[in-house]
Amino acid sequence: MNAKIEVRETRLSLLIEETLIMKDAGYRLVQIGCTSLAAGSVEHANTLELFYSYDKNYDLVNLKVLIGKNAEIPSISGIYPAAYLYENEIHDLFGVFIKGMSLDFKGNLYKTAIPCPLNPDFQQKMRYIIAGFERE
Amino acid sequence: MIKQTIIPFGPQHPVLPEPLQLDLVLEDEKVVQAIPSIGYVHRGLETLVTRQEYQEFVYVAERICGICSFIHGMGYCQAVEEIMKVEVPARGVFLRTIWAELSRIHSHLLWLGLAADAFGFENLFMQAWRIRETILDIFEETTGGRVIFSVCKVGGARKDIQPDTLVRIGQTLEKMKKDVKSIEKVFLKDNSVRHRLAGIGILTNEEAHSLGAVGPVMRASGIKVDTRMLGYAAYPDAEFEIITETAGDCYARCAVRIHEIYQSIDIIRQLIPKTPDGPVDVKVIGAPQGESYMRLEQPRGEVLYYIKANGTRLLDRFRVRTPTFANIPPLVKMLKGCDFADVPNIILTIDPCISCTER
Repeated sequence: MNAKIEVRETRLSLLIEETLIMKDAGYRLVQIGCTSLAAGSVEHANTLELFYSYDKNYDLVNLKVLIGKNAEIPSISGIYPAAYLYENEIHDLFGVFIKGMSLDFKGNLYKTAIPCPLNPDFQQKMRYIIAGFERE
Repeated sequence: MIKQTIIPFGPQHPVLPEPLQLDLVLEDEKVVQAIPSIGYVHRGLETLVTRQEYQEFVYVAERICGICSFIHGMGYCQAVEEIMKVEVPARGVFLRTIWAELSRIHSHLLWLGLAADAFGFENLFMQAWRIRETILDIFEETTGGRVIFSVCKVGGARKDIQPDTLVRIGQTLEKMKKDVKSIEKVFLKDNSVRHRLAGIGILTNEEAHSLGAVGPVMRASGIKVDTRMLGYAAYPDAEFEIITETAGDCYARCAVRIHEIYQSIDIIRQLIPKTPDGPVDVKVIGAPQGESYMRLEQPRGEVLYYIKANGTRLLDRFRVRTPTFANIPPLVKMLKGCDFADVPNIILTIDPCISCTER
């Protein structure tokens, strides 16, 4: 079988629109992942890369979104109900703020010894800690 | 209005081999909502990729889980090999596939035992695990390990299996089929077992798709998806059909797993005579650069590995989306509206692996 793997870059402002297109086309949400680009270059020192993977008939489509420091991203859990778990994971491990999750664990999905361990940006960690207290 | 009660289920519970917590909101004996909580065994294994040399990281990848450890190692290796364009010798590929299918048999038998234990059939539990011992003995003989094998490496396999041993493995599995048949009869025909499983924890076809279910959970709801059909490893050399059921209940999930045991035995039977002679590995030099998305079929369902490499011996990112993680939202849906007494059975039918989930 020759299944395709496609990587498509998109902008944060188009995320919901693109997600709706995938949903309407019958794609299944495979996962949402996040990667810090800090190791790659100085230019992207505070940049995170979110990738949303979808499957249809074994073809894998990955939507990539670059987000900067302090970015707040919209939740897609209203479109794909299972997304809340991935979004909470990204919030806890990378400190990304996600608005409108259908179930918000408020930083308690993973109980890590240090906040957002996969985010190399110290200031973002501090913001996470302070905002975390505010939210409680 | 009926008074609601919240009962915490887990993290420690007799049916749970690993810690998972569910806050169950009950109205009388009916579950109206289930809120999952994980995070008790998070080990941060993905982060270790930035500190462990990429060839040594196979040992960490294998330790993501103790049941599907081999396929985790294999998936990681395949992802690195794809980036580095490493051509693994055919014999290495065949041996990997045989070990992967043996892992599936062992995992499904382990699950059958746990399921029997959950619905109170101790003898059936013992029989399932007795049969599973045969597979563990094969692992021990061919790899030296019964849980973690460490036979997968970037570039192939660390150990070879002698041709006469391969033939003997095929014969052992054929004999084992009879034993599986004897417990299959109880799992699928016994009235008391059927009473505990049939019509319980239903996940419809649409729900399975929209909630992103994978593996036997998805196939038991009638969705014909099996990542082995992508044609990785030696699967293109074996003929097999995707096993599905339509009821989407606990009984259907049990039936899918039992039939997949026979399917795995059949795949191994087909692969053994086709296993070519030759080396089992190639030497890999250099360091990977680029990214790779690799999907494999674990016993519990589709797993996705993402690797981002920067041309050094330390990788930038290793991400695993494990099957149980994907099956938690469907589990929450299955629990809604069920009887409190059925909760343990329903949880077990997704075959939860929390070590995988949290990594």
